[in-house]
Amino acid sequence: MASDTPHEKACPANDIISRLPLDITYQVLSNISDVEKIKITRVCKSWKQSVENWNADHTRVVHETYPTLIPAPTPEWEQFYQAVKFTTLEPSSTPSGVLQAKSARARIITTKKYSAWIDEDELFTCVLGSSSTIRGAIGKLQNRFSERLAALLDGSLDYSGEVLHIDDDSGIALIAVRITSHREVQRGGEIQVIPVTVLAGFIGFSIPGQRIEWITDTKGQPSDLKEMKKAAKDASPNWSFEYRFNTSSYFLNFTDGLFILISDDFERRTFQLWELDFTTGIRRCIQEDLLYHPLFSFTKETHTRFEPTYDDFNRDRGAEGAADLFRGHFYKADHFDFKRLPFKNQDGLQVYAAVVYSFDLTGADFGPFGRRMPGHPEFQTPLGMEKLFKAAHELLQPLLRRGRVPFDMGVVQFLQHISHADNSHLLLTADDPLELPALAEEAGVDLAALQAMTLEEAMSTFFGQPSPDGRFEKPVECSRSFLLIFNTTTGELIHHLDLKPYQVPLNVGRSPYGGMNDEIAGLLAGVHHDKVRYPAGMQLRIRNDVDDDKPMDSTVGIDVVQYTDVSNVRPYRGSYTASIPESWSLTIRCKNTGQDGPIFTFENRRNCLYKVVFHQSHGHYAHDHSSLSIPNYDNVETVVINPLYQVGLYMSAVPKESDFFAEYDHFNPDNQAAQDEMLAEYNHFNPDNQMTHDEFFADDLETETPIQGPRPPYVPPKDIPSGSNMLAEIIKFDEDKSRHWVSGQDNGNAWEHKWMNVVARKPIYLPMVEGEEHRMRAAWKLKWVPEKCHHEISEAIELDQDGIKLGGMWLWN
Amino acid sequence: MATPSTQATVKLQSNDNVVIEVERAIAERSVLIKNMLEDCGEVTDAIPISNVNESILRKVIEWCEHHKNDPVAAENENDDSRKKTTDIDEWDQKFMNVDQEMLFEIILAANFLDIKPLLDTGCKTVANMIKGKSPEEIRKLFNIQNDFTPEEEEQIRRENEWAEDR
Repeated sequence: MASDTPHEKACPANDIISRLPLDITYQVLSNISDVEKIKITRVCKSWKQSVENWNADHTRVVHETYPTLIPAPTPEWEQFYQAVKFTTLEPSSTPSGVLQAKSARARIITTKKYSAWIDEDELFTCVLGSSSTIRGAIGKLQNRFSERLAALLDGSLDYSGEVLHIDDDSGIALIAVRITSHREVQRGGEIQVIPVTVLAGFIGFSIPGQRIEWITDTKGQPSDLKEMKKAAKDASPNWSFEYRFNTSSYFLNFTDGLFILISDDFERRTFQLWELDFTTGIRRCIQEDLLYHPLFSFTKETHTRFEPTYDDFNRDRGAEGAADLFRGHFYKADHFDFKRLPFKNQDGLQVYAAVVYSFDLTGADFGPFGRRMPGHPEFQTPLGMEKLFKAAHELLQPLLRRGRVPFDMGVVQFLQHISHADNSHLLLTADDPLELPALAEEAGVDLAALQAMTLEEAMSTFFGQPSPDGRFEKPVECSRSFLLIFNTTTGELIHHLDLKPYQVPLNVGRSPYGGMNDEIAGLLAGVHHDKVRYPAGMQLRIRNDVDDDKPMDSTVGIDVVQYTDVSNVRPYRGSYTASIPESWSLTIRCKNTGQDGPIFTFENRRNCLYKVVFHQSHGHYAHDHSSLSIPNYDNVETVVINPLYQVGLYMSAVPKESDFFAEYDHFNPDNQAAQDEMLAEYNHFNPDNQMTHDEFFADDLETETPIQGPRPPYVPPKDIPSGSNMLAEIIKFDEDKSRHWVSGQDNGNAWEHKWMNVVARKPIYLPMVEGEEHRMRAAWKLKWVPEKCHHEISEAIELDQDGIKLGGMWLWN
Repeated sequence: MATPSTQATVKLQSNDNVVIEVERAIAERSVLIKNMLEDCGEVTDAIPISNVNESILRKVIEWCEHHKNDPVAAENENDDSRKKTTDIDEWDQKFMNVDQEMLFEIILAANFLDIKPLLDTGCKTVANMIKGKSPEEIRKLFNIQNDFTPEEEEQIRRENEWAEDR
């Protein structure tokens, strides 16, 4: 490295490192690992400065040498530090502890210092040992405390609760207290007495002090148990029944002493930003309408959102217009996350808060009463594709098991295939044609007549001329996401930024079974044949603190993650095939302009779409070669994404032999010509687009080396503890550069859009026995509650520089 | 450029005015001297090595003598192609087993004389002295005064806890 580097050594000392010329010091440093470099920053200020200078100059030189590798020389010590820390992050040989709960519904809340949860009717709290005390120590969970909530309050048996948040500074846990009473309700023309659980108020419980510090009512005013019970008699159950999601929805989430209060108006919600003093429980409203800006007027229109009410879920499931086809009881149309930004004002206070917001636009379209649903005047009779698919799906299974059809063949291809293989009768082709009697009845055709039909006749009878494409004609904008910056002193919205999503840069319209990338493109564009993607959560991470010398003239990197879900919009419940979370990373630059206040600008905007394909034993994409699929989609838990490291964390079911077929024919080259012909037939590519359809989906059309012959028998890995059925893994992403694009200029700042594929999976090990050879994977036995299928104990929660959180287990290095 | 010389030895003069005669091939392990000889042709006077004293110069010549048959790195060889490990052969380890002041001077001399392999060996030696040691051990080894306040050090120690045992 050249000696004319811009840095000079500070605080010269007499030791060899401090006296050597900078370029030679750099050469010494280049011979030690990055972890060692960070370690020696504690030796003295001179060494610390040398290492930080090395990082800055090294980044600059790398940029000059490899300009395409690092797009801009942004030597950020914090980024280097965190990256090094993360790369060394492996499951600790001594996990911080396993927190166990009897109830699968127990929601364990942790911070860096504390953990608290309510298991059935009992409150548990503990102090988490710091990483220094964890290593090799026995008592990693300290100050354990447990007490029945009733005993903690006034002895009444009607209390239940949920820990919503823990303030790390004060150690106070905010607990929502619920009261169950019996009310008369009208059901099916009859008056019934049913138990109703409502939110009654909140308590602040000191974990270090192991005592209740304060009690407030639902409005945040100081209260007592008597008042709490009185108020509960008339409280609405809609947002406080016992499922944790809706209770949490009332208060959404807490960060840095802030929280968002949600109104219980199902059609036109308002969201308020509040500040909570954890030491007293007293609240202050910062902004009465978080979405007051005209930009968000679209969220205030009636019926722009549909969220099922308590009554919706207590309605008979088969009733007309019920929420059967829609999302679960945990569904929310609006998703927020927020944190105080580290910029400080002259008084050293963090007065600016970043709020990330995502609104689901699909509720209005696809909700039970939406224009895409039966009964709505605008509803159009779905194309026959789903019926065809349903029938074919039933027929497909036995044939697949016998290895008679190519594994990844689409439905239309399948029908063509069986018509070629056995062109006499549809019925005779299948072993177990479950659907045919029902279809015959529906079509008013005698079953014997149906059996005598050729495939073409049957298709014509049931479906008319089958459309090659079951997609909706008009694309649906699924969600809109924003970054908002508020002044927490005045409540003023200082800045807002559209978080531009990854968009498929072409008019997608082709075979609905043309490949996983095509399916995902359909979901992104809102033109999928029977599924719709909608936001399921937002997460905001702040990468670094600001320089104390320039608290109001500095930069902060942030990562926003939008988690999404996919729901069916047709009666046929197709299998869930992929998770497609998305992230936005950018640098917020804050420049103080004096009396006019700070100016925020946004730089280095990057949007990433993460394609996480679930392995489908019975599906069409089991061997999709454009991605590394995740096994056993049935039980895949939430995928947690960390954009800083381009990694994710997830849990999935332990594979079993029955998940695989004994024999299969992965790729049949004989069918390739027919397949290509079909793809060409269904290709509705718009020639006006810059990129051709086939270019964009090049890897769908490519063929990999066929795998022939019988599949080798499945051998379960030896590192899975017996009895477990859920495994934790880290997934690593890499960009599919062919799908990289840059969106148009937006005030001089374009978004860089990346499509990320899974390129590696790494099991997480829970070292039951020390030593690499004997480590066992982190695994759980799934807990099920009948009809309330919560299995939070095993969910992936977080993966960052602070460690790995997996449900009831925390792993630190 | 001067006519190639057939001179067998060259004289090197240390900064404390001691002249040492050394085989030309050995002296040419130094890229600085090699270039100088190539530029000047026959050199009868002692070449002043202004930044290096006698004891260090003799030490450097000792290293050059031992490594005189080593392949010379190509001129355009960049840093990336150099051996990245910190393995040092046994002879070099013994050679570098000197007090820190001499090690420091050898590194500076290697840098001045442009003897990259010797510079590499010196840097690796220092790196090996650092590796695997705690900050406290490093301070003791290099006689470094801890100039962090107790609060500052505690904060860094807490932040870097994950790195300390590695």
